[in-house]
Amino acid sequence: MLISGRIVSLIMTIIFALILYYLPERAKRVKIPEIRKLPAIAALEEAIGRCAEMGRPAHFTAGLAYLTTDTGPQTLAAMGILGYISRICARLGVPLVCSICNPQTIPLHEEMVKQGYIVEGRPEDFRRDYSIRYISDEQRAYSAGVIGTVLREKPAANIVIGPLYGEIYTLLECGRPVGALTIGGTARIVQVPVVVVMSDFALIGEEMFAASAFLTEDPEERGLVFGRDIIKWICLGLLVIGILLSLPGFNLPALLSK
Amino acid sequence: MERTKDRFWYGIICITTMLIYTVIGLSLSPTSPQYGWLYTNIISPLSMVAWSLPIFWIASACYRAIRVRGVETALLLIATLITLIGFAPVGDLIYKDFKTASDWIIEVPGTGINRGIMIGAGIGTFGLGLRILLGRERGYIGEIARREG
Repeated sequence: MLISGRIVSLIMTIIFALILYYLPERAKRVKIPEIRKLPAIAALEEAIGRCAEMGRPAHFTAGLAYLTTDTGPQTLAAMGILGYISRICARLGVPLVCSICNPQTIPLHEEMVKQGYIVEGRPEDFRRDYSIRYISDEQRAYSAGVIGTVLREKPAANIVIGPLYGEIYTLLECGRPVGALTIGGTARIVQVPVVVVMSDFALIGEEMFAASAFLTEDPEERGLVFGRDIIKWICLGLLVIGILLSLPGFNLPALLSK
Repeated sequence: MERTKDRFWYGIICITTMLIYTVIGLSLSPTSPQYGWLYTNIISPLSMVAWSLPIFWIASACYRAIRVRGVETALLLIATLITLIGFAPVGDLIYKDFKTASDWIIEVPGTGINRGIMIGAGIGTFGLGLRILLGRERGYIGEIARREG
């Protein structure tokens, strides 16, 4: 029995799921539009290059990085970006320090960093004890731990990407006293303004999810971004139709929520 | 805990505190007044210190952010000033419509932008979640190294 008020949501979910399933498959065979270059992603290579020039490490943290809440996909998107960062670090010989809050993500961090070194042909350079640092799952202790890590290691790049909460202020700003370039990113709407204000380069909202497609140039990933753009156009179309219908007094939201 | 010259004492303090908490918690229970006293007088003040730090971070970030470097930062500065003055107790005394303008900035352009980002982030979350459920997203379990290594 379908619950009243959720039928349209169900139909839309099925349509969106089909689009997101079909387009990545189709992208393997058909050429799809290019993804625009994201300044924050372009800045990652520049920031790590800066670390190599200055002979200082790079620091990465994903915030509280929950896996079992609605922000789980953000954590996994951040892990994809970490994989890219570790590859650049391995290529340029820059030590990478990862500060971890959620113990569930320790194996993910380890795997992503190790993969980066393996892909670049330098598995022997991966130092687990140096790169993978679990601090605490308590938010305040974690914030304090990140400050200490950054002040001691003096990274030239402080990369903070993930589902960020109240600790965002300390994570983004603690790199300033040591002259680190700050790259921030989150899709949590309440923290987006903070990321924009406090970072030199920011990845906001959906850019976090599009980043891995841009980085890997995998047609399947790019097809997924294309599918998401089509869904956004559908949403935009519904908004415009709703606005136009509201002018003569027709209530589209009420009809859709029946 | 590292045996380094400058950080050794921090390790001693950390281990000692952990032992004190463990001994009191096990011998008197975590609900005892003694354990509560330790929490109120050690954890709470330390937490307050940790949460007071962002005030300084926000101040320095705001100073950098509201410098006018172009059209976008100028708009940000204007919107920030109107919103700040609109919410300040003296806002109404300076100009009676500051509050109205501040509310408009939050409710009209602010809400519109928020919804745009929320729709984008929601679709992104849905897409990645679907790929994980279908087993198409395997980058975090070694797929990249297997594919490119």
